[in-house]
Amino acid sequence: MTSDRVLVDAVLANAPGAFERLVREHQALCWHIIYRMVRHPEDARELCQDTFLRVHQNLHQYRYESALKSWVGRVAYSIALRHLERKRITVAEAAEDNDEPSLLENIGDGFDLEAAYADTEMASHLHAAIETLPPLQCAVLTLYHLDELSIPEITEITGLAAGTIKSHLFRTRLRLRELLESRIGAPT
Amino acid sequence: MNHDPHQPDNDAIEREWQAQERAWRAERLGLDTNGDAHLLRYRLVAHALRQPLDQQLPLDFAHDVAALAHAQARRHKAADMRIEKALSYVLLGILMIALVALIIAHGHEWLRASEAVLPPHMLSNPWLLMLVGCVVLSRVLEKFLPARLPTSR
Repeated sequence: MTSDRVLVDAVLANAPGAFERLVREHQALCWHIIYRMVRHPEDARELCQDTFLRVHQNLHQYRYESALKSWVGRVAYSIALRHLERKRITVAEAAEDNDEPSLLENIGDGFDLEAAYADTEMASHLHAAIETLPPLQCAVLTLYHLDELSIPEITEITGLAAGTIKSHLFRTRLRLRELLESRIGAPT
Repeated sequence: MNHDPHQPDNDAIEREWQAQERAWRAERLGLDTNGDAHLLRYRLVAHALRQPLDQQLPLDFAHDVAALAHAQARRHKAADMRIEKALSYVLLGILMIALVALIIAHGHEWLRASEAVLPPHMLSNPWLLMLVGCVVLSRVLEKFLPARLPTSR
């Protein structure tokens, strides 16, 4: 939090290079949120730019109530969300309460992790499945696994309840594992 | 995982959640999953989710956005100054109109009062009145107009 304060003070004082440093520190997170939700590289780049322009314009309103990372992430998330709403794209898939029990069974043995890592076909299949996830689920998974954010941090960014985030993580990972099961079980 | 009383089997869901989390921890920290097929599948999912995205921002993104933000801030500042200046002129105009209205309304009373104080020959000389007016006007304008810096040649 202290380093956030130093950086924010420097940007507000118009110190040379301060805002560029702020962008560099948070651009990966911003990109992950927006690109995962929007999925169109050009649109995502533009929205990322809009995010940082808005951050620059409104930084004086930042009150240090959360980490700067979460504050920037929230701006990125709301910009991506508005973009999807404008394009009338469904952000999240409604959860179905009765889809888990059948998925908790039928785990076979003889799974070789190294071989699975090296299996490019399986990897591309998994990546394709990740790409087809609804924008919100995809963003939550990326924030948790790629950016290694905690559930409270994801809560701050998305404004969703911790239980909802856990539910999204649980159901989506279950679905991906199920997909993997079908690949492993399928004859080659 | 949240305990939802409406879920058919909370224990099974909780166990599954714990397996997902253990696999994620193992993948992140490079821990051994002891050949547990269940964890290995989740670990493979976690591995796929940790891969960098297929597209990235350009290398000079931060530099370009910072330059754009500074240019935008300068434009906003200039626009704010223009609005401030325009409002000052509007205010000055209102004050001038109020002054003229006051002179029209009370000018005769002020003239009569000044006749009682000043010697009669001073008020009968229009050039003297004009001089006083010019001095007053220039002082007023000095207050409102920005000072000009001397130009170097």
